[in-house]
Amino acid sequence: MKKIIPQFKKTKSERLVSISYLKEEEGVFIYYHFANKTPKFREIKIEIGNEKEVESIISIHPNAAILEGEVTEMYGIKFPGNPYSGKRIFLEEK
Amino acid sequence: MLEFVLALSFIVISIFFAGLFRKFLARMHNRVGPPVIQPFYDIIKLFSKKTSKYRNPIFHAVPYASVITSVVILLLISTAFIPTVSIFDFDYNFLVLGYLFILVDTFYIFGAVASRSPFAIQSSMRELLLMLGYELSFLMVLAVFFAKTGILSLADFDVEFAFMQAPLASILLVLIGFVIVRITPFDVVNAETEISAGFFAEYYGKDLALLEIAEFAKDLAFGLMAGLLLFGKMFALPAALGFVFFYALMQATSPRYCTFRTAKIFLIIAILAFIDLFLLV
Amino acid sequence: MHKTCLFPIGPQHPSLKEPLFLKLYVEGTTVKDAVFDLGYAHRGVEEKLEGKQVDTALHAVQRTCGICSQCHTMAFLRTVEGFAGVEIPDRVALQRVIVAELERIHSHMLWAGVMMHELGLDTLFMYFMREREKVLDVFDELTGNRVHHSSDLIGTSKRTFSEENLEFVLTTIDSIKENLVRYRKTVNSHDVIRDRCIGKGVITKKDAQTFGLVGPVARACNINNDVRVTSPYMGYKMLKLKSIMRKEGDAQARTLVRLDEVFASMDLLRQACNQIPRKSKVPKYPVKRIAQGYGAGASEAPRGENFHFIKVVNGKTARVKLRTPTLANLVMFPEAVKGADITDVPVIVMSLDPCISCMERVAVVKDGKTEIWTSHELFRGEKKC
Repeated sequence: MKKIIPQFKKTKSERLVSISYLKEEEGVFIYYHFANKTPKFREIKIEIGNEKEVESIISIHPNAAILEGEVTEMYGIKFPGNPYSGKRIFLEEK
Repeated sequence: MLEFVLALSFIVISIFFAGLFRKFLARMHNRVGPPVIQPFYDIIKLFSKKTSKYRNPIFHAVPYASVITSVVILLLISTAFIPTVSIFDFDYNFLVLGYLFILVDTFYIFGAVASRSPFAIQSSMRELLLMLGYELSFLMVLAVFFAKTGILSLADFDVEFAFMQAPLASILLVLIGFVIVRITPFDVVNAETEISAGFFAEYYGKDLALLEIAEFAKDLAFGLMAGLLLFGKMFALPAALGFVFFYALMQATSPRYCTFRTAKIFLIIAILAFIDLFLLV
Repeated sequence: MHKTCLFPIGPQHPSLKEPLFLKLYVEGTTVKDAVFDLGYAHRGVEEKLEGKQVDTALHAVQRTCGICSQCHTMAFLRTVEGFAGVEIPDRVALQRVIVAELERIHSHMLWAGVMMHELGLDTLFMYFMREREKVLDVFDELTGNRVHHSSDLIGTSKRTFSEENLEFVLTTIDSIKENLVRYRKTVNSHDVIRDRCIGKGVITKKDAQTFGLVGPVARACNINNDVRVTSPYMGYKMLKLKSIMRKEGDAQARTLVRLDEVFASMDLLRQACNQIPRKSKVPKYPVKRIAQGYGAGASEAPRGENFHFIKVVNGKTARVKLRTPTLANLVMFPEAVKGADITDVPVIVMSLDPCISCMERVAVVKDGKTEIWTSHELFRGEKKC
């Protein structure tokens, strides 16, 4: 499991806006965007390589629940500790 | 025989009055609205649809029981206007008619609970809560009219403009009519947006058509009885038309109260009716 | 211990305008727990937008939602023109703002009408819709469409608004203002509406900050997060505006915030129509090709902050991520409903203003392989996730 919480300790006063997964030529990344008082959105880019499990940041930002759940459902990356991870949010079971 | 046919024509008039209600409401909303004979088309269309799946005997017996009771009330009240006929060997005691109104609502509760749907059960819970208030006061208000005029039978009720003798009871009768005919602000039992119109949520096809006929017949029966008690025999049918217009006006201009506030209001109405009756005796 | 029974709101329900499955666990008439379930309106927008040219992607993004179509255009163009370095003239910036503010007015009027329908007052629903029709006529005149306006391209707009168009905008606003003032007074002073909306679905300021809520929901809890004020973009840099905020955080506060925003939007429209440089025209040719770059940008939709993250590689889009405002507020739906009576649930859910068709856009990319699903397969569930 990829540990990422130490990089997020400084973001406690900011608001988490979105979590996106992107596969590029340089590797596989997850982008976290934060909003604070300045006009531009600040991004934190984490490379995850071939890992399938990433630590959840739900302890610092509770609204990461749905955003991480969306990444799980679309791309299969699991976030242990997140109650919405693994539970279907958007697609129907058939 | 002719009188019997005349009495049956009141059923057709009741469906027509329901169409008039929708037309008045639409005009107050600043739109054209459906044609006045639309409920006829609705009922004919419902008869041609597939009937609900079999659940249990009570669920399927309720539409027939309620439509028979409703139509009987309407026939009884309408034959009260025709003086020489006595189809039923009945003295048109209007307290008994009040009980028959309560019986129709009780059948709806049976059907709602038998369908085991969460919407219908919520609706029946609200109806039971409101019954403590409005059914009791309905019977007391009718008793006030009997006590003031001394006449118990609807067929012999020839007092004109009885509302002048019992003003408080008349106002309470009109307020109780809001719950019986299901008009906002007191239509929590059939709240469309909260519980998907409550009692009838699980019925479709022929059963729903019979239930709709029962509703229309009950509405006209209440309108005729209130018109008869308040204004006298000559003016009962125009008074029923006036009630249709008044109820459409109230439906268009008020939002819906929540359940507990409605229950409190009807408890106060029951206390007022009791005081009115008590002061006479 | 009492057993709780499941009371379903949806997927089909008269109080919801779009399919959403909110399962309420009810004891008596009080809600003890709530769980939501989604996926009834998803169409695979994000997957469709991979590997497309940027102006084709713009065409699809504009059609994600019917009510808030211009705000998706604004966020997309803010991002793309930002990282590609495209400058837009004043006239284009102000024309985009005019369409966006008209859209905010029509969206809030639609919402207000549906809110009154939830309370049982159908007459105000019909009256709000009657006023809204005049705004849709303005859209027809300006852009050619009543719903998906689609009047902008990268770097320019599709047509120049003439003097008569701007006059029509201003006369329409003046003609609906008087009626709207009267309806707002009714909503604020009618006994029954106040009884059913005040104190219901209270969200505290601390909760709103922890969960990162956006839009009028957060502004009713005294948090200033209006993107037009905190980070102005396009024509808003030339206009003066203030955020509308309230302190109480209940359903009545959210209603009044939205109705007051309609009047603020009318003021902005007057400023914009007066400031448009009269003799200029929009540039004739849009920017056709954008080679490389990535960036993020946001715009203020009627429901909150709408965020886009776009990456372009070799002239084609590699990823377009849309995070719509209802997705950010979704966490609050079960929390706001807990402890309430069933009578209050439609009022609370509607006051949080769900726009489900914006929110559901996903499709599947599994194990690095892209699967393209046809709509038949989606409906029949033949492909398993």
